[in-house]
Amino acid sequence: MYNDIVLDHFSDPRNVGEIADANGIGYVNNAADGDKITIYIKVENNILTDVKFKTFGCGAAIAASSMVTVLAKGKTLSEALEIKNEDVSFALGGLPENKLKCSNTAADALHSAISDYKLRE
Amino acid sequence: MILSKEQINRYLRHIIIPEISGQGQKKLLEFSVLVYGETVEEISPMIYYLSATGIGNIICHLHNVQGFESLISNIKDYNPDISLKLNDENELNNDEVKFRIFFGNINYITNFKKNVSVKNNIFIPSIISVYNEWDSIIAYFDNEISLNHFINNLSNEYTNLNNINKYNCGYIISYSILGTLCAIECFKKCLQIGQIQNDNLYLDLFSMEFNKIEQNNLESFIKKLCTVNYENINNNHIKEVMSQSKVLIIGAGGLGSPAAYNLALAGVGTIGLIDNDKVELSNLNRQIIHSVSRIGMPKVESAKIFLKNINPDLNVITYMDYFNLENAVEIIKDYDIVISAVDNIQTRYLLNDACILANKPLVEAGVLKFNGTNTTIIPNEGHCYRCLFPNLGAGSGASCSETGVLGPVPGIMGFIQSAEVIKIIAKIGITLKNKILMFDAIDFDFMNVNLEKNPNCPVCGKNPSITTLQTYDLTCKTKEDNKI
Ligand SMILES: [Zn+2]
Ligand SMILES: [Zn+2]
Repeated sequence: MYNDIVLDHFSDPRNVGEIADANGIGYVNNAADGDKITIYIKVENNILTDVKFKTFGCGAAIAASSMVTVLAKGKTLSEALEIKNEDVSFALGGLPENKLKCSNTAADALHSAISDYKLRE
Repeated sequence: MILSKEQINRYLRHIIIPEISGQGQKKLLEFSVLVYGETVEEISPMIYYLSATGIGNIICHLHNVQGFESLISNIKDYNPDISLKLNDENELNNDEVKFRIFFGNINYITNFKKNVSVKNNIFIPSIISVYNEWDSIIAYFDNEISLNHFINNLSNEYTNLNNINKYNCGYIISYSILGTLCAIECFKKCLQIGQIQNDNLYLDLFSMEFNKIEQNNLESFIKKLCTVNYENINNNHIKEVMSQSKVLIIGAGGLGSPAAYNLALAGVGTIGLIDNDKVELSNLNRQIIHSVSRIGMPKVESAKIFLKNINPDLNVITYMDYFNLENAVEIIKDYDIVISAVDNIQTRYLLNDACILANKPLVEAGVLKFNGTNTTIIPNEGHCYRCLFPNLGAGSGASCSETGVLGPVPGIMGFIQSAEVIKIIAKIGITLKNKILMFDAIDFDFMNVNLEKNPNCPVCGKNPSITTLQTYDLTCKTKEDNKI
């Protein structure tokens, strides 16, 4: 039911883990599908020098979390805020219809981490 | 990709667990384990669950190799990723082997007194699993001295060397559960999850009591294992009543597989199996009664082939259907006892009410990731599901998401279900009535929680409000396969 890019990111997720000295942490907790996504960011001079995630959930949620870290790493804050959930699923070559709404929320978690960073500033 | 597409699909329920992921599954596939056992029958449940877990290389050293060829061909069809072979003496210093499992009755294990050799002075981390009917010890060793000390202790305490009837129910239950625990230990050793050096347990499956073994009580547990006595149990009588019994299993998946497997071995007369699904590759990390060649086949048919192969005399009745409000009463009435092997909350409530109203014992289990639970509901005697959770709350536990589960965990829970069934049918031992057993594979911990019948229970209380079956709202929108 998943395409090869999704399978790749799901089985071999990039940037898994926590950032010890993260200066922004964002969460998305999706009760409907049971997915819990946490994104950690390290921002230096307005640039996301490191992005990591921890996700408990379905394959789609893990793949989307992995992909959003890949897309966001090295971007400026305003570029990272431009990344939408649709961009993540597009980069993954598409997600099953029933996963689009409930599990494709990794970009929301990224945005929440950026808000957290801005609050801390 | 880190694994093939086939493998990602097969191990989906492992990979989805962050502690395993694709990286961990790859390590498991590269791992090698050496199994010492007496007969193929005894090691088979372990071999199935090592294969389910995806332990890539399994080398066996057997006292009696009869039946090994057919085990190899079954495993090849179950999981072609696995290399299963016999060890010949020359290969004993196989450098690849990272873990050893010594598995058998006391008589067999004490034979290693002289010949547990250490090649090139490198000790291979080892598990000893030793059983005496319903009782057993599983212990981990990281050095030769303590391993030899254990075996010596065992042989000093054990005097009764002749009287072993390996084929009674107690043995079947013990070697199945213990073998599956060994698969979990192999998994933990490979991925360095948990603290395997503390995983020493005494299991009394007759009374469902589990004790951690510490350094200071090891000798008393060895003594207990060697002197435990089930002589007053009439195994011929158990065989007789088992052969006349009819057991219904709701769900031919992760729990239904081991439950049915053991009941077939133990000689139950009739097994009814109800499941509406077909075999899929992603079932095979845990559903040991199915296989690659039976993908696409209704699960009940696939299960029947497996079970008839174990016990040709077994009568298997299949229902390719969902267990639901319409058929519940009609199906249950033909059976003596019901095993709940589903993992969706609606069916659980339906089953609870149906069994209470029909006065049939219900043997329950559930699993998630590294954890499992068991309980046994005996109408009029003990608690029921609604005593604990009176009503199906909106959205309670009804996750649509794919959930992770380590293959051997439902294995243990399902084997325990079959033990409960045997004890209820034969009227022996202590069941999980008024108790919930909770198993944690990482802490290697079995914990009993005591319960009581709730006098205000809506179905089994003094003034029940539920007297007929009712519809159970399916809150799960996408309703993917929630069966474990
Ligand atoms: Zn999801
Ligand atoms: Zn009740």
